[in-house]
Amino acid sequence: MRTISLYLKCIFASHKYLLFSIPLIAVIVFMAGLYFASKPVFSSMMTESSSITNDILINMASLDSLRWSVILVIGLPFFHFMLLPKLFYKSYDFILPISSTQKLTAYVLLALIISLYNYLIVLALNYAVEVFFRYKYWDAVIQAFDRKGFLYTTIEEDSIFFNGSLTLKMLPHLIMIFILFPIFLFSAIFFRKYSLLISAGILVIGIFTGSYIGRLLWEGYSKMISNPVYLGIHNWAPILISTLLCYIGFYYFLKEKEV
Amino acid sequence: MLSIKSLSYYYKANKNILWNINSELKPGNIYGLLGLNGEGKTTFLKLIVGMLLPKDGTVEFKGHYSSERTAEYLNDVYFLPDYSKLPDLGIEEFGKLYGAFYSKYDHQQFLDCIKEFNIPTENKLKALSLGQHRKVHLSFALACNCSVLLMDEPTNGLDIPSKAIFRKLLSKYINDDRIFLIATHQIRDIDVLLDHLLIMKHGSLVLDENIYQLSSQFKISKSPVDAEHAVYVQDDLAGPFYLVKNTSEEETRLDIEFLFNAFTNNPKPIEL
Repeated sequence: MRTISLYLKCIFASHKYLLFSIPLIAVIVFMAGLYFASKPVFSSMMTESSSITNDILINMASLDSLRWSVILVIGLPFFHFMLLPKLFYKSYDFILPISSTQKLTAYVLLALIISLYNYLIVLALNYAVEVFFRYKYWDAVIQAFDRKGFLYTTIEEDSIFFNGSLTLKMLPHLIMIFILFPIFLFSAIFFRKYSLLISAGILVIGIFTGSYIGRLLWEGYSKMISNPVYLGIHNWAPILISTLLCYIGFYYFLKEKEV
Repeated sequence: MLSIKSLSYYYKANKNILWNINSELKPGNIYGLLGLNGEGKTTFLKLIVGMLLPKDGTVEFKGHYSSERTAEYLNDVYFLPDYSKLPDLGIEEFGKLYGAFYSKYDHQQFLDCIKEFNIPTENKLKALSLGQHRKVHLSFALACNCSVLLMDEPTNGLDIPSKAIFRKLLSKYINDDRIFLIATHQIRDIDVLLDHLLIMKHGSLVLDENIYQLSSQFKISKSPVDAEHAVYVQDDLAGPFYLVKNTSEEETRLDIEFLFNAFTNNPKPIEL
């Protein structure tokens, strides 16, 4: 474990910019998402308080939360993982007295740390939006309901007023990163250039091929399957197996890598 | 002892870069690895450290094989490549962080070497020139105190005074437990330090001999009397020079560059 933590320390120390680049990229992409994917939310934030009518306030109560930010939680870390393929080709890194198993473990831990850091930033941004709406409009929306006579209507729990707490529920989605991570690692070690694009390509081809074969095999019959074992595992077992195969494949490629 | 047995390597199956290399590198010696461009010197060093995996044969040190790339093997064998691109860290920070992986790393020794090269330790590696980068990497390679230190063109990018410092450091840190193997074209930078010479030609070792043995077996002569017995003749501006068998068994000083030309240019293999 000492060697793994030493190795992680080396990687983070020589990539100190991550401390700033992770929040910076998250903020920029979040702002862009807010503008392009949640225009009503963005407009509500920009509107002068004096020009807000009761109808606007009532509509606000059902404004969608920023659900798309789950893409940021899962997708953004991969931009930061791009530092890993570069390490495979650095001689001072390659010849370190550290086994392939230890390196793989360090890469997974590094992915976990980056993913959590990125998640915390996205969570903080979503909470900031929630706090903004609650502080500025919560009471006004309740009063607007009263004024309009909507006595039993409340602010929806999946609205922008609960944006932060809804992001908290995205935490389990981080598992997606560790399902996709080995595909990224695999293509990063196999293809020297454009590994991010190639891993995305592999993923898309995999999904299409898998669903095509699935449809071909079960066309018209899938609803007739009653095997409880199959029903219990068919959703996650193929994904788990392909993930494990990618991890194993990467491990062997790392072991046999020539620089 | 570093044992190299039947070592072969190719990038394309029908074109061998290295072919059936056998050698035993003994501790306490500085080995010079010479060869023309593209003869496979870097490939040879990379095979020893395990950056490349042999297509045939083995490299073994203290019971560990290069192809296994075990932490124990890499703790004993360090490779300094022909270029130095180190991570974006402070000099001291680099030494402390990366030195922690090597069981025999001596941070004070690293700082002493840096000081010898006149580099301020408070500098960031990013701010250093190519030559200074090289000096830091050399200092680190020496301070790791690995039993086998492989150096590929170590004097690349070093200024003239630094080459002298480099020689001084090599002679200071070689000891009975260490092997230094230096691949270089700049033979004049290190020739005085070499104990043993390895010359590569067409992917094989055409010479693997101790310098002292060589100097008792051969001598370089300018005398026309030796022309008849010469195993190699080199025409120079100052006239022809002859490589002849040394019959007097007295050790003579050999010009390594001349020797290299003799072993690589001679159409007939020179018998030892």
